[in-house]
Amino acid sequence: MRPVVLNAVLCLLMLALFLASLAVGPAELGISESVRGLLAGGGEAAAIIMREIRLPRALLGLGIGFTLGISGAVLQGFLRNPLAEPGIVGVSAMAAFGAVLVFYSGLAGSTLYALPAGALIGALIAVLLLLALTARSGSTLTLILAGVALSSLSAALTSLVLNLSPNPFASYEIIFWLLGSLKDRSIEHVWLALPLTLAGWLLIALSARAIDALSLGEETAASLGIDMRRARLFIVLGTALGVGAATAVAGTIGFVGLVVPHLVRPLTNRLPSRLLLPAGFAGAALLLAADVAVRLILPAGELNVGVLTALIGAPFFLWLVIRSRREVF
Amino acid sequence: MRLEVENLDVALSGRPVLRGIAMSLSPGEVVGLLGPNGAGKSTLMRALAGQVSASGSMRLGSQDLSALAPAARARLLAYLPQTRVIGWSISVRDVVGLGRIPWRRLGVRPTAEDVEIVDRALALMDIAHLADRPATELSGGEQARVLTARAVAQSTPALIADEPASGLDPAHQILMMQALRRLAAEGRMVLVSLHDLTLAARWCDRVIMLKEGRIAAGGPPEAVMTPECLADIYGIAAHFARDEGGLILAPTGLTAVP
Repeated sequence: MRPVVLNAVLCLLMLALFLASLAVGPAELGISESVRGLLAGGGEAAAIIMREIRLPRALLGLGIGFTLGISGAVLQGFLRNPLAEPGIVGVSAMAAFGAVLVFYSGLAGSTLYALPAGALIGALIAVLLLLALTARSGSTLTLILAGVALSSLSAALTSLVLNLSPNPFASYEIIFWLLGSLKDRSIEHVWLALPLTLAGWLLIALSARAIDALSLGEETAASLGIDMRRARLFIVLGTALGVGAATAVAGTIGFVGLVVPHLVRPLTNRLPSRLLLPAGFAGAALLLAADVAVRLILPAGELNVGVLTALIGAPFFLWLVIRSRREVF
Repeated sequence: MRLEVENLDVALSGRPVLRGIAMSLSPGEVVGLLGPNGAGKSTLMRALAGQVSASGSMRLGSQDLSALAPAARARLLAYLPQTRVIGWSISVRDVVGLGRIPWRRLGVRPTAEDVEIVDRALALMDIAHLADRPATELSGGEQARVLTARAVAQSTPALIADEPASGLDPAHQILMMQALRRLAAEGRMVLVSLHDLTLAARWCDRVIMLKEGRIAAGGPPEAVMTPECLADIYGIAAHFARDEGGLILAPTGLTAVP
């Protein structure tokens, strides 16, 4: 498919699902009522529902989905590994641990910003550790191993906090948050995540040439004039800013970054840079669709979108592993 | 424009690997870099490509290679590593197009000139008929030519190829050497490391013999590749013959236990 056509189709799909996300919810609002509530403002119930509940939710679904898709695409290109995703470099896990610490310390109740700040600090520590661990060699293997170590460490520390948690309600709150959700987020959450997310997208976009050159290995990429240290810094920092901000406001939403590049790659010419934009659109579309689905499946219940993406994503991951094994043997 | 190397020293993890290397390359010549395993051939090529730190002087024309930014160096010197990596099932044309990266601005589409240079590189390496095939599905010999075409598309005055003929069948080895000769005929300078002495004797204008990190000999194959030299550097004996195509050299046995 031609890149322009592919991007246009996926962008339209994303916008359609964005509108669907605005239209679905427990309050039965008609279309004209919804549009009026969104645009007219005022104190009536429709305006409050649209502007303070559904709009932030849809915006976050779009932004976070885009971030997860583009991060997965850039990491797969960078690591030349189709099984890579934001979770693999340990950033998601460290961000989650940072947030869990905030819960545990009781700071979460004090201000809206405490929890996101905890997650962001976690993500940044993850980046600094990754860069320190990989500073001496530019090898991608070192980065993967460092990511695995970091993920295991933060999982262990998260378990420790849960174990020490003084009351069951705190544990319940932590676990629930770890499951990942876009429910009951406010427009402040959008403003909080937006600048970091945009900075992450920019850094990833600037790495487009580097991931293309890396298709031919690190030596060839370096001989093509790619500054490997800079490329690594941009990609790791860009992913951490985007995924850190996403985890900060929505908890852990896994597998979107893994699945989306695989769905979109066959429709591109397979150059890693050409995958970035389509993967962003498709990631946003997928997360918005999943978030609409959780509202339709259990309208009264509390099914978290992170649970749904994991339920779809984990078997997909397994299938990928089996398929790639078959190609090797 | 000549490539001039003087007094080049390279140490890897504190161990000296190359000592006092001095050599030069002129446009239009194919120079073979020979020597046993571990003599430092790949390290010398990596040093020229700026991938290991080296002390000494490396100049291409008026430019000091070691002082250049990576992107500027990539417009002067193309490097073909020994390991062949093609990460995704990208088409042959797109793989060769990656050679244009040093010349392209971020986000700008390939120009007509980029397309023409890629077409010429495909034709030169005789892979134009494969242009739309995924490069990962090709045979080893075809992949070697695709990756060489990638380095050719970099449009640099100097090309450095680390064992481009290894792992190829005899016909593909000859095709590879003929392609390198055509590049030289276009006015480029080509430095190629080889393990196959027969190929080196027949297709290189000059050879440089490395032994234990130093240059042991250098010059035209007829002058350098003598029985004494081969015994000294490789510990082998060889059969020598000659025809209109140049020197024919076939290793026949060992002179000493290596």
